[in-house]
Amino acid sequence: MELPTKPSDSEAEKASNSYVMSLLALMAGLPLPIINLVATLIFFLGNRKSTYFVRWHCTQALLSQTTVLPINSAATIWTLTIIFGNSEVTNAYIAYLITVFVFNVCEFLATLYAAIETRKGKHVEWWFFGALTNLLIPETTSRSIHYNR
Amino acid sequence: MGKLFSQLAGLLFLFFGMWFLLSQIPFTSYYNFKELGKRNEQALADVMLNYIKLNSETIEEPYLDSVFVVFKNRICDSTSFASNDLQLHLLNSSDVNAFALPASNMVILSGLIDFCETPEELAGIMAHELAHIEHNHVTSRMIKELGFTVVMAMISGNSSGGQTVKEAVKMVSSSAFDRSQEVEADETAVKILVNSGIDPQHLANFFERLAEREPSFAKNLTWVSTHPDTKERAASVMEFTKNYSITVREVISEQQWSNFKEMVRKAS
Repeated sequence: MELPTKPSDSEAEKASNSYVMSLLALMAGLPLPIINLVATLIFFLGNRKSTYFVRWHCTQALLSQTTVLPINSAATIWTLTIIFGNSEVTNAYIAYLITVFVFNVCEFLATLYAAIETRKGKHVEWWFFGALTNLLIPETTSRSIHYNR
Repeated sequence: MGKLFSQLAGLLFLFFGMWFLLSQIPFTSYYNFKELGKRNEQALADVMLNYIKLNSETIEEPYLDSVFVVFKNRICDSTSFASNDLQLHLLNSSDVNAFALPASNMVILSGLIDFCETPEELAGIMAHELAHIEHNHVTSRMIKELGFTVVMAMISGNSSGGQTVKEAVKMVSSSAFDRSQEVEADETAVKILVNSGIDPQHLANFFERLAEREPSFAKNLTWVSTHPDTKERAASVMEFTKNYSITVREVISEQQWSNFKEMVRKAS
């Protein structure tokens, strides 16, 4: 999707920060999969009346974190039932952990890439999350006034 | 909208497809997770047994051991358990108590043997403790109550002095399992007894006698305090028994039983 105008420097910084926020929270609260979601949600709520570019990227960051939450929570709960309950380590469990790890790494790299690119004022749309964000934040609701740098 | 759903389908296909394909790899056969568990359990049992043996008097008599082998063979034969894997430890104490430890160790106090009127009652208690071992109740409960890190610290010898080990031993010997675990152990014990040709009625009798004598003997009847609702459990043992038909065989003769009890009494 092409943006009508290039976002301002402060818009680009705010949009980039929404991704940086989830990365930092992810690293800080790695064992608790909800911390990065909460951090991204707080950032999203803080910027929900911001410009279209900022809101769009805050929403994309929030949606991706929301999707990762149940996947990571399932891994945590499964692990706890093995440690404290009667469940055993199975091939399915190890396969799930590897899959979750791969998806988290992909999400991490995508978030990092999005943080760098949006800081440059470029619009980055992810697979599925981009399309979903477009649906939730239609361009007509834009409140922003774009300025060319 | 169509693009959105096709991308979602692609994402889900990627996730579940990857999970499914990876599940086909036999990871668990590359590394034996049960063995790892067993090694740690053995180390945990060694730490606890060392503490118990330092603080209690162990009774070691070849004759008593030979009788215990008969009991062990009898109750283990009907399970997946190898009789040799079950390690019995007889301690000198007037407490009416028996408890399971990790790595297939079972501790029986001389007071319990003295309280049992028949060899079948003792076999019933042993079957109950064996059921706790079979269902891995002991280790899971220790991890649940003490925490995984503390248990691992005990194994590696990094726990703070002997205090943690003391607490762990106190916990397994004097506090109750979850009610669901007790019911599961009772149910399994009935199955073991029936398959071993021992009438579970004896286990129920043991519970009832304990419940009746509880007021005057309460302070020594640890098994009662660790296994609550004794009367109710006697009834449920009989309820479980209804599902089976039993061909009863003698565990040991009356003469052997009285010799055994006498020997335990003398050694105490």
